[in-house]
Amino acid sequence: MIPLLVLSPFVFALVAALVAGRWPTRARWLAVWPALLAVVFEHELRTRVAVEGTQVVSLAWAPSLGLTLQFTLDGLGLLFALMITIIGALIVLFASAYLKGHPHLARLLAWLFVFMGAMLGVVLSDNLFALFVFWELTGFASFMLIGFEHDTPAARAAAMQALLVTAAGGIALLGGTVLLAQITGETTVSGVIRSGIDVTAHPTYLACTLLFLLAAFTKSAQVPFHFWLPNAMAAPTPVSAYLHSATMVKAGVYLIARMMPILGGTTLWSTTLLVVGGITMVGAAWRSVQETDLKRVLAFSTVSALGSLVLMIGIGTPGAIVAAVVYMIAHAAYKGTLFMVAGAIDHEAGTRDVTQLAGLRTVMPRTALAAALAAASMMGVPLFFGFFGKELFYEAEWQYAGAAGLLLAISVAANALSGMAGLVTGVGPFTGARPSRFDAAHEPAWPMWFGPLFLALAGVVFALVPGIVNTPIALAAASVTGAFTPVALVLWHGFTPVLGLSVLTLALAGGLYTQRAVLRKGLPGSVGSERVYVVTLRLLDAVSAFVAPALYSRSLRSYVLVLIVTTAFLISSGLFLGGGGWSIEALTPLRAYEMVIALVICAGAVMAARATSSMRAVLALGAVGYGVALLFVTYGAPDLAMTQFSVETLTAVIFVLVFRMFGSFAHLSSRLIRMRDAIVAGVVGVVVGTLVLLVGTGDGTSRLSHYFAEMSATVGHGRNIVNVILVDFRGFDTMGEITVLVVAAIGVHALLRIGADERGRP
Amino acid sequence: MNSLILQVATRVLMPLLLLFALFMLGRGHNEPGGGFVAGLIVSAAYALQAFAFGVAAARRALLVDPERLLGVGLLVALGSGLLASAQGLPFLTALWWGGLGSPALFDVGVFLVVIGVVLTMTFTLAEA
Repeated sequence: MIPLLVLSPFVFALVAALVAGRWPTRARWLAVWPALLAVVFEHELRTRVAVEGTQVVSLAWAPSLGLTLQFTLDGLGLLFALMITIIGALIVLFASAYLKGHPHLARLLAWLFVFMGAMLGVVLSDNLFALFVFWELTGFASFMLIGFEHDTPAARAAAMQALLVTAAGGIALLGGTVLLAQITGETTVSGVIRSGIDVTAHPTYLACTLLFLLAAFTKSAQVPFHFWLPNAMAAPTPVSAYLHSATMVKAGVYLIARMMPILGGTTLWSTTLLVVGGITMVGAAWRSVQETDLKRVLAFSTVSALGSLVLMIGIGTPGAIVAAVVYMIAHAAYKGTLFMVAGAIDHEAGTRDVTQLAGLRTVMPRTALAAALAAASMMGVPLFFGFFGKELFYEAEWQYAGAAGLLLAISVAANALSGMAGLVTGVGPFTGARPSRFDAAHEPAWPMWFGPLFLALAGVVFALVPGIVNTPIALAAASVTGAFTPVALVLWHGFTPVLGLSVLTLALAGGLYTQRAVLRKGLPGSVGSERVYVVTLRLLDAVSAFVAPALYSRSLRSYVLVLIVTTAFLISSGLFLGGGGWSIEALTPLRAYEMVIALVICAGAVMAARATSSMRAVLALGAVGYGVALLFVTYGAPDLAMTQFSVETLTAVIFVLVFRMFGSFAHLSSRLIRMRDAIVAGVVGVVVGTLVLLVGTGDGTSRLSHYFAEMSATVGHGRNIVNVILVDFRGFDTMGEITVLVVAAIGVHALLRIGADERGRP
Repeated sequence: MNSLILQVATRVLMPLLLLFALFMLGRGHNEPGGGFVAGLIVSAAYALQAFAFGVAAARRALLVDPERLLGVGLLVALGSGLLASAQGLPFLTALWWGGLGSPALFDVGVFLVVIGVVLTMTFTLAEA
């Protein structure tokens, strides 16, 4: 049951497309499904995982090949699953109002559900290859969602950039997975841990770790791969709130946490995480205060928070892991809120420029309340959940043996800057005197303030009643550290040095906020890694412009030539070099009427080759096809013959439709090329003909046909072997084939329709 | 093209061809036939309709967009495989309820896809 629930958002994507397409005003009801899923995951977490430990559930896929879709339900996975579904439900609700009346609302919601399914797959998959597939699927959904407003070039460029950067990471993930599978012989996380093999002692450990970290760093926008995330703000705000702050970008952090029991514990591991996480945390926090667009401020502060999470996992002590989990929950709540608030402001006031926005609290009181609560949590004000995150963070650093002083210094700096960003985005737009241009702004419809307020209040409730989150946090941390230690969050620790740091952070944040205008002006900021991306792309273009023409001749004829020559070569090497004990005398003797059919086919072929108009060539080829179909009849394959007759007829129809605009051929091949083609055609004909006659002698084929005859009657419940093979024994093949057919049809349709539209015809 | 002979012949042939296609689809599991060839026969019937009365008339006679049949057919085939998954069996495991089986449903999916593919190509080419 659970595996189907995990995959259910994919099905729900279709439901969303239908419902939101037909009844856009009812689209908000779609939020019910993720909410129900959240209830199920919550139930699993508290009643099963907390009591009986990690649950493994699987869905058989192709058991004969050892392929099962296996999901692990443990603290870490379920915590993520809860964030994905709860925030997902709120975002669907929000988006249904935010994009009310947008012609493509259905498309956005459908892709949100696809993303939800993929993300659940990432955090619950036990099999690393399945994880890879879901991982790439989240990147693809992100691509589609960033590029949602596909007629703006900036959105397209940002979508492409996000896809290229994260997909490069995806390839690294695949590489790392393959290496890990080679080291341990296992493909599941649980299997690798169970095998007890010390991966860190293996010669390829370095490569394996770096590949996994590369995947995580690209996905979680760590320096120097961070640049795609601020650009991804081209997406509609619900998408930014959901994918690019609360969930998808945390997939990298998830991967690091998940792999820590396997790859962690070495200097390489912790040093890389500390350095990359630290630089990202400080650098992005610094950049966040220089931005004036609400969403870009939030984007950079998200990058900074992701850096903090990576840093905490790098510290790696049980305390640091608990801190990371708490920080992550707090961040998902307040950042999700602030993004939705930014969307609401943009929706109502028509601008996201923080230097313009002011005084909105009187016209948008509920939104203002949500924003203020979230900003307080983000700053780490006591009585808010964000406070716990920062306290535990400082605590873990305080107790860390290596370079505690430096870590604390940069953390305080980054958190102060983040706190300031919280003030800029959560308080600034609502305070002060309201410019008259915002007089028309008003509280948005309830789906747009409910989500932010819900998440913001969660940040308060978790802080006041930490008992409700203790167990999930402890379970999540246990998945990373490997040992369960109860967690009891308390609000008041007494007067400790850590409390002093928290107060210092708050004071600094407040002080910096008063100087925000100075900070925005003329201070050095951006690191140039985006330039590297641009230059790399240009280089790639240049190389492929050089290489591609050599491989890609743009001539169908030359492709066909390569194909059939290769086929003939492979067959004849089997026939003549294999020495497979056959002789011309042993071939099936031809009957008289078969000779007649063969002559008809040959005549058709010659006619087609000599035709000077396309219509004549099409008809001649039709004759060849019918001849082949007749041969099928004589060889006792009525199914094939029937299909061949129909296919030939329809091919002729399609050819006629294509060629009706052309009369005679404008160019005929030169004498030399015709000679070459004649030789190739002759050789291929002889080789394939020999093969057919050889097969007809019955050697080696009888066993298979007996097997299928027997199995299709008993297992397949059908007497027509061909059909039973197609729809049952080889059903998966057929599935693939009909998919290819559909893709081809869409291709034809798109090519012709787009051409027609550009010429200004309907 | 406006040929009276073709039009009259088409009127007579259309129902016969469609019935024949259904017959092919139904008997496919035990006798020569099946979704693929049945789909081709239906496509041929509508291609004939298009030649005799024009593409617009053929589209009307088909009642649904061939483009839509592409998706519906694929979903039917996929759904017939997922029936097994819903019962915890591997994807595409054949399920049988008396003489009716999920492979028959799969065949219907193939049937619809084939109609969709051929007619999408034929109609768009004829309109281009």
